[in-house]
Amino acid sequence: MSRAPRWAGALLALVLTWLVGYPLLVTLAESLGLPAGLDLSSFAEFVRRPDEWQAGWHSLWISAASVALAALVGIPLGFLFARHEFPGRRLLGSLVILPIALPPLVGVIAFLFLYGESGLLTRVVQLGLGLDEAPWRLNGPGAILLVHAYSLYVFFYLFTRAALARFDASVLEAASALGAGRGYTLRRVTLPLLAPALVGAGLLTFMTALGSFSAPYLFGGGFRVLPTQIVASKLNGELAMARVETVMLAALAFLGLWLVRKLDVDRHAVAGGARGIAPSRRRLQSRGARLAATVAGWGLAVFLLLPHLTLVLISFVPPVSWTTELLPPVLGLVNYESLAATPERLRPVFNSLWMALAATAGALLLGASAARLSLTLRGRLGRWLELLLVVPWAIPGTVFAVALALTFSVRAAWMGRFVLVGTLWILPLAYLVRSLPVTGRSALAGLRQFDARLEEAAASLGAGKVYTWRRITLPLLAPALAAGASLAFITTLGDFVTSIVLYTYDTRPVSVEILSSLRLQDTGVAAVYGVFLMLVSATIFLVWGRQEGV
Amino acid sequence: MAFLELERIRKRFGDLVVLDGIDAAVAEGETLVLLGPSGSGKTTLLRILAGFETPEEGRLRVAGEDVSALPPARRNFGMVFQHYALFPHLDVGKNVAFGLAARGVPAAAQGSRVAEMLALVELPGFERRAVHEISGGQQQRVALARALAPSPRVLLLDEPLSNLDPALRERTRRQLRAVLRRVGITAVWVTHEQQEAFDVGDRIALLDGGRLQQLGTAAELYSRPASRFVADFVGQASWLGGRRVAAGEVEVAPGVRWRVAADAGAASAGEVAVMLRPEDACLVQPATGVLAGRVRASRFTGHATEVEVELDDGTRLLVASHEAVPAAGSLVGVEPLAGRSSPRAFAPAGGDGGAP
Ligand SMILES: Nc1ncnc2c1ncn2[C@@H]1O[C@H](COP(=O)(O)OP(=O)(O)OP(=O)(O)O)[C@@H](O)[C@H]1O
Ligand SMILES: [Mg+2]
Repeated sequence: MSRAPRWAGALLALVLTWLVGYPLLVTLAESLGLPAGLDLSSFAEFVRRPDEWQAGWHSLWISAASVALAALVGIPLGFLFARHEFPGRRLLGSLVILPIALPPLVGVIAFLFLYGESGLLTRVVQLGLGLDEAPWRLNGPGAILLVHAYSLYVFFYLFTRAALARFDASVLEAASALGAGRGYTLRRVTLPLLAPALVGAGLLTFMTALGSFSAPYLFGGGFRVLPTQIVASKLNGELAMARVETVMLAALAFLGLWLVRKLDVDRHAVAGGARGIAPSRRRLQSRGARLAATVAGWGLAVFLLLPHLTLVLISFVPPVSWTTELLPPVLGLVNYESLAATPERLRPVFNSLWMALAATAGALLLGASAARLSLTLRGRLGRWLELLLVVPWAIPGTVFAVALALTFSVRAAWMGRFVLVGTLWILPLAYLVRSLPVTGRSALAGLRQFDARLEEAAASLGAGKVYTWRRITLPLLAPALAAGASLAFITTLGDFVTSIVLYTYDTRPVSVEILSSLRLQDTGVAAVYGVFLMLVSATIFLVWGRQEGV
Repeated sequence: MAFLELERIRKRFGDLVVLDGIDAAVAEGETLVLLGPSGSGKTTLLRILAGFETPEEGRLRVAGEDVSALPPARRNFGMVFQHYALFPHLDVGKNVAFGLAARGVPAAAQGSRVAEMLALVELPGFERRAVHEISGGQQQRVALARALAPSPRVLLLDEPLSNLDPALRERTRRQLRAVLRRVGITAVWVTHEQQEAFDVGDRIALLDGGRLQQLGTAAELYSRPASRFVADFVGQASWLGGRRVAAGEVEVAPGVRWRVAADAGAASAGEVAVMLRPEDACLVQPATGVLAGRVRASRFTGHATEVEVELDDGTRLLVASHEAVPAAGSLVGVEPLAGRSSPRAFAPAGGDGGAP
């Protein structure tokens, strides 16, 4: 790779530091009372108020329990799809990844429509048993855990599948040649070999659950976790407390990130690099077993995708047409038509689209340049650029949203602070900051895999710099860049965490509009918005987003 | 005469001097092999020729033109990479056409040139194949076709056979050599295998520790090695200590005198190291004035039996014998055959030679 000028690297590092590192630093400094003087009273307050430290405690145990539940769903699912051949395996294998790619808020409202008080399944049970009221209520920690298990199993599923695909078949053959039975081999050979991948999946699940906002926000009720507590404090104007909470959540996230890096989790995320030959998928011999695998595969997949299917159904239910019946009595396009006909309702769609597009384009440009520079510029500058690219990935959206809100609501141009909150710019900027680690990480991964000798080969064949870039470098990096960009686009298009803190009336995005539709009992319209996010995200993810393995 | 000229090429990585003033000249159409042990600087020298590394000092000329300052893309040197570096997203045809397309050759002309090149490397009709669908040996030949397609002035090959298994290696080596001869291209070929170097090189440049140890034909390196290192690297050699008693005569044991060849370095020394190639020695009956030892072991190699003889002082000699070999432990005499290139005298070991 050709050398990049140092000044370009320095300039880029400055911009990224201002966008990514500076708001976090400002928040930390202000939580400590700086620059006026060291003052820990806010932290003392945090420890003294039970609802504060309890939010921290809730965050921790909810995340731990989410890991356990996600493992329970994801690992068997991974085995099923890696080891058994049955009709529809490939299609379902891709579909069951979707819950992690779809916006969390969409998952949450889909859940609401299926398991909520007047949800589809709730009605079935209620009418079936002839009960007077709903057999359960979807709130509190139980509901949060359910939603988490339902979407976060994907990490365990992917890591298990990748690890099994990487497995050297001769290891299993050696075990059976030594007389080990299936169960013994599983316990003593397979699982120990999978352990590193499972630890990696567990950490990613933990970190994601720690930052999860939509589920606790909608289902938590009085049960607060750190992300919802932060937003509540911010909205109540308790800024000092919001800062301390933000610092606490960021500290937990950094701890997790440190573990992730220490254990080199990324290594387990992608298949390949195998020595030996992976065991071939078993074509099940007996018809009974084959049937069982098919039923299990389809059953699980349908079960996991049922909430999203319900969301589609609800989007076709006209307003106030469905009261006490088991199934909606009429279906129609009323909701879609009303959305298309009302400019006020189309506005959030345009808002979300342009902001996501702008943020993704910016993040792609900044992320890819920073990735390239971090690899070509050795030394401290390169490492700092890489750090700025990789670290924010682990930081919950709430932390960034609040840090940006606190930093850019003050005018102090000589300190690099401007009043952006309340303007058109703050939300796209926040989206860009959240997208940077996504595009940056995939660009880094792509560049690391890229064989620099190919550029040399092109040069030795007489190709100039531009020609080589166009014909060799770009085509080979394109999949990684496209994967990063599409994931960034999906994340920002359906973003809720950042938006709820920073939106203005003019930039209100789809997610915020979903929430207000729900408040107005406009479930049909909320569902249409949800279907829109779901379709766009799923399409983009399935077409371009897959190369990176999520 | 010289087509490609290297002049005082010096290169270092940090404090490590990797190439220490290399001078060499390659005639047009000639294949020069860069031979040397691992880490001797072969790849670095090749990459300097290609323009991927810049030397601290030295010039590089092609047909009298100084190309030292030209970037790789403008040198018009072809290169075959050790791991081929085929473009994974392009098929075989597009890989071979790449250098033509980069030079703006029209598509129609590209097609016929690609076909011609693929025929040359015996892969006709492979245009549409994906590069990961063909075997290692075929990838190797695609890499060669790709490098040759734009008619480069010089072809550079970095260990082109090292990724192939031994059986395939010999066949591919013959194919490559035949193609180079047919095209008549000037080539620089890097290898660390003496057999390969002797087989493909018109001349061989032996490198060690970033210095050119000797440059010459295979026969010159073998029969008139310039140093103990060269003698050891290009063939089997036994070493014994000796003392010069007259011009061209060395006493290798009390009362045993051999006529030896010697270069200037060894001519003036009193103590010398004598190198003897196994095929230049024979076993005789022990007698006075004949070097005596005991047979330690023998190994049948097909065209001869390699006998290891241990002298009284522990020195071991290898002798290629064509007759019945005495049993292990028997007392034998060793004599040089007349009119051969060894025994040869060298200045005594400064720790750098291969003598025991
Ligand atoms: N980019 C580099 N930076 C630092 N040192 C290098 C670099 N490239 C090569 N070297 C060092 O230069 C010396 C010569 O390396 P080179 O690759 O030219 O050897 P070689 O003769 O090709 O060896 P091999 O047969 O193992 O390929 C080695 O000591 C190597 O460690
Ligand atoms: Mg080398």
